Amino acid sequence: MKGLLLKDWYLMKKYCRMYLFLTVVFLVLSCIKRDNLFFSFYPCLLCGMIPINLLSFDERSGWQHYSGTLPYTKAQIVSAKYLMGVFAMSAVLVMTGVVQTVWMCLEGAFQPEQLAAVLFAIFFLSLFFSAVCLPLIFRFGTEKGRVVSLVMVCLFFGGLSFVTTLFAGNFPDVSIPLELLLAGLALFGAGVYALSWRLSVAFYQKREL
Amino acid sequence: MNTRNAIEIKGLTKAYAGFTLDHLDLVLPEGCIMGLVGENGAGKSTTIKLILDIIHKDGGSIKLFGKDNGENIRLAKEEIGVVLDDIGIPECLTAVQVGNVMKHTFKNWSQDTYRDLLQKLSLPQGKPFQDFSRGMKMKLGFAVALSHRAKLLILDEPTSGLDPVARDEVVEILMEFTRQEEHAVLISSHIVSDLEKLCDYIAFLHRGRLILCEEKDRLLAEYGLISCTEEELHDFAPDVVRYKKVNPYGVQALVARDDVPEGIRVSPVSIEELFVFMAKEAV
Repeated sequence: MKGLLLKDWYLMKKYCRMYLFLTVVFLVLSCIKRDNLFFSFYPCLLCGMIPINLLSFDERSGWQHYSGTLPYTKAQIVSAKYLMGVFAMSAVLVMTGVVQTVWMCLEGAFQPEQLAAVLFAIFFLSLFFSAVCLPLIFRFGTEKGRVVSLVMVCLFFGGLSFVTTLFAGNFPDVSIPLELLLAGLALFGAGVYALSWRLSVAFYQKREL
Repeated sequence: MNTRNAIEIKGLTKAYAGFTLDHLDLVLPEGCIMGLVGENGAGKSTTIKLILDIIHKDGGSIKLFGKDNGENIRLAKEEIGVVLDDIGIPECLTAVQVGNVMKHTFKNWSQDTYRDLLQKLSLPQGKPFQDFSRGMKMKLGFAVALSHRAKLLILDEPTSGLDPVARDEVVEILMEFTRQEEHAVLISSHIVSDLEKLCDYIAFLHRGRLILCEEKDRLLAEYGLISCTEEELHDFAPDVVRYKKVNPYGVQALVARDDVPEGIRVSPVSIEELFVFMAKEAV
């Protein structure tokens, strides 16, 4: 599978440079505008898009067909994309960790709980987006898969917003620390990602290219 | 010496809406080149995808070097070099990067062979694939296919869109590959003239059915063409004329040479003419 990962690495180096630049910009902005969580979490969506874009490049260049002629199993082809997703997420996690730590230290207010909470949230969001989208893309192809996954993400966040509105002010008072709650969410994200990988392998094995 | 079969296909069936590959039987012995001829949509690419287990068959069996292709296709693919019509190499990769990827893909990858081939085929090492001409792209596909000690080459329309010089180079590469006895080539194309130069066997696919699979030399020796009037044609026994084509100047008929009465001039038939006759008549 090293060959597949190397190929994706070359592609990422060529086509995803802008993502790295945007991530750095947003990380700096997230430190300046501490009250706006959008700046902290937008890089997660960017890195969640990397495996999806890699798949799209594969489809466009004909690699998807060509890789079927090489000594790789379909499970390996799927796994390479999931590993690239983990790699991108780890990169954002490390960058955020470093930037936030430096900034907190400069401000003289280093709060490990707050940093952990941000990192757990990033971990969850980065994996969740691609976990939802990838099986659909492996099932339907990039064109259809992107539309379906966009609908799924909208439905998820729409549903979340609906539930929040419905129970506004009536949530049971559970005194769980935020970082613990987010750690649970990160664990849930990892589970969903693993499940998503299994689903993608099953879908791709059945798909006729 | 025992000759193994590189490919052995029996009763292969695959159905799509509006197209069925219908009980295909095909045998490619080691040391031979087989041309898979057929019009667009005849089932050539479907056959190749089924051989490589890229799509699932509905019925029949495929053996590669004597083993069922479902058993361990990954291992079999180590011994197969494939060049597809659209190659499939990512646009931004250079020849060197392609070599690095393949080094980690094939167990038997030879970086020296690859480097020599790049040099021999005058392929630039640092230029991205997207800047290659069609001929150069195809040659890079061949360089990859020939650098991991493949015993079987499967080529899907490798000469389409190439200029005559590049086509000739491709033909030369294949000639060199088949100098080794255990090497075999399955090459699909609708440019029949290229196959005529290369192939030992010709298989005609038409609308998903195999209408003929025969040694090329035998085909050329067996069949011939006669040109006459329709009235003259009526004098022949019905089984002599295999196919006929009526034109404003008379009739051109494909005949079995041995059955033609003496004194009638039979001209040689090309594989292309043979295919066109058969494809037009076989419904």
